[in-house]
Amino acid sequence: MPDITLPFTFADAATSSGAQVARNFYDPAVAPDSFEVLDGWLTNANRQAGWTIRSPLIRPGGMADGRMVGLTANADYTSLTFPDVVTDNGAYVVIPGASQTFVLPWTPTIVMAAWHVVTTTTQSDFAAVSTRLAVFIDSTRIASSTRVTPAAGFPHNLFRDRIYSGHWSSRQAGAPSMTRGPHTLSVRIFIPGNTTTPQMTRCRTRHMSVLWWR
Amino acid sequence: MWWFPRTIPPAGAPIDYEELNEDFLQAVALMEGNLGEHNWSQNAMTLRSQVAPGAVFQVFRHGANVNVDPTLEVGTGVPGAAPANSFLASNNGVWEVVTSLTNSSIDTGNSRLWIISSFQQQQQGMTSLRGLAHAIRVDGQLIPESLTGTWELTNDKDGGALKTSQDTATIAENGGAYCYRVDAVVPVPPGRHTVDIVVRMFFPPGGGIPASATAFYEIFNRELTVIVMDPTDTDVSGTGVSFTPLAEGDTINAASLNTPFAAIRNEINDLDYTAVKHRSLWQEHLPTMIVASGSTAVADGEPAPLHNYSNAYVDYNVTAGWVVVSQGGTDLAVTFASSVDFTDTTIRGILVLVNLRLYNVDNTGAGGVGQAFYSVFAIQYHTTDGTWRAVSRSERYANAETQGGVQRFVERDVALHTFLIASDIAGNQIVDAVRCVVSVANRTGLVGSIQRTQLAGCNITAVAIQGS
Repeated sequence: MPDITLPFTFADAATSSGAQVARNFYDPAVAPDSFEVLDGWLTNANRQAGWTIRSPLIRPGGMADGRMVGLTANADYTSLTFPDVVTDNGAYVVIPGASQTFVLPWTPTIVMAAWHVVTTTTQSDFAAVSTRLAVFIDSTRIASSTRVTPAAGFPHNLFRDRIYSGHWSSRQAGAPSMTRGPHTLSVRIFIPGNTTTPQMTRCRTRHMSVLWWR
Repeated sequence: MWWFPRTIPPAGAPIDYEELNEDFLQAVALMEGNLGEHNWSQNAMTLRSQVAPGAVFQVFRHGANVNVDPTLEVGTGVPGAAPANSFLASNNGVWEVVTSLTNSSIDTGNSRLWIISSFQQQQQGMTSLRGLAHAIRVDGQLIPESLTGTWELTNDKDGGALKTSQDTATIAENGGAYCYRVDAVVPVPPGRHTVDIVVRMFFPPGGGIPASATAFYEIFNRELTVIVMDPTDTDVSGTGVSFTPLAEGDTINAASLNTPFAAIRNEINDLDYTAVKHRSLWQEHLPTMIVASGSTAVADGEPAPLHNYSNAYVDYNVTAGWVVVSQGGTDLAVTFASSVDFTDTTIRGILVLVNLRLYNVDNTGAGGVGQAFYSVFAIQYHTTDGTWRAVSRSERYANAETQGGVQRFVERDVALHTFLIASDIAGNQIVDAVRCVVSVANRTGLVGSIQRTQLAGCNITAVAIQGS
């Protein structure tokens, strides 16, 4: 709304009109030129030159916000509870602490996520089958997010640790629409079940950060 | 607060100065610091220049001036022989702050901090599999979820830290060369805060303290970025509202009507800072502070489509020897829809995040196996004058892996990050793209060897923001 120009200016010797006074106060036009501009029509044009919007005027979380979840307790997964091969994304299991459901209070320009999962996979035979991690946003698997945590070779020695410190942004092609409302973001795990020796993957410290910026 | 006249003078009714004053003063009261979210239109401000640079984001950056040459080029000694600017971790099993990755004067309001740090780690002589853990610490309190290891010291045989190397027989040579990225989102109360990146060596059961002269961990290139969301700032003064109400006994004439109407109209047309209620504006009213952004992924799959690289690493901080990571015609690069002009001082910088699935680094020729092959990665930016330039501090690497004398698949996630600011940018200072590049070091120059890096799924994100 540009600067207002009141609809009526009063002249001496003319009979004043209550209706005109009223319309200067409140004239609910589509583009109000009365004091009614104060009712949600103010724009930058109404702002005096020489000052800019500073942080005390901005609602906390109203332009940028984020939250993190995480867990430090070990979570052990065994190949015995997984199918032999990956036939669909539903075979992947959500890792608590590396996943969160979050609510976007408004539709942001960009959503970013960052996570880490520390893993160790034990298996004695060094078979080619290895544990897979993948990241899902609103149940859509993120392209480029697959990681493998290779077998350690020596059960219990756990020398071959891996850390997946990944990231994702809603600007990535194929991303689900990040509109206002609830969303889920999760690191999930799959261990091929067709190993001759049961395989275990231990997920250690992990977290999931999500940020949304106007 | 909505505004509505208390009294609407009906046609033909006499004008009452008290009723007029009530209506005038109601508008005046709004403009004396009570203009809230309902008083402003949606998208009231559309330009970033209408918002102070530090109103939404404040960014602190540390370690960016640290440059450590790991000497990966052919014919050099074992990396990590205490090169200049490296940080030597204590062998005493205590948490300690990594030099340069700390800030003790971050002043905030009720803010959230996004803390991101990435660094290169190199070990020497650590044959007994002690690991080095890393974590973020805020105001002296470790953020447990940021630990690169485990807190369950009683439920993990070796406890504590990540140990990424397999082969104890060759680990003394250069095993455990790896890079890390840690991050956390931490809410903080108003006040001054300290953010540290800390490391600690963990010991296996019964493990003694190794001699630090021969067995140690070092941190090389490193960077800490702290993005403050909702930073604190001071108010600016204003002139307030200049308005004199009608007084009893005043003559009601044209001037006594026009003058107050004009005074308030002028105030509405020229609102000063003090007219706006605190914490009233938000994304409904304000433009994005994101100057430009983009993200590109090199897709993976089952089996992973691999892309291979054999271009030789030349030396630290040189432009030769790099090629862009690329698969299926897609470069791991972000080209901005609109360029980021760093001559605009309101632009704080470009946050760049990169992740790569390092499938393998090995030798495809003769010359045997070994851990002296390194995949090296770096971030580059492109200016509109046509030049790609490297960010030397972003160089990170990971070494090949063997077990029992057999080359093993590396299968690591490689995580890079940097925050580019104006002083980083050469040329015409207008950045239109960033990318990730790769090279392969064959440090010992094994005769007949052909070094190779194999990558699978990768992604890069770049976000340029206004801030202070």
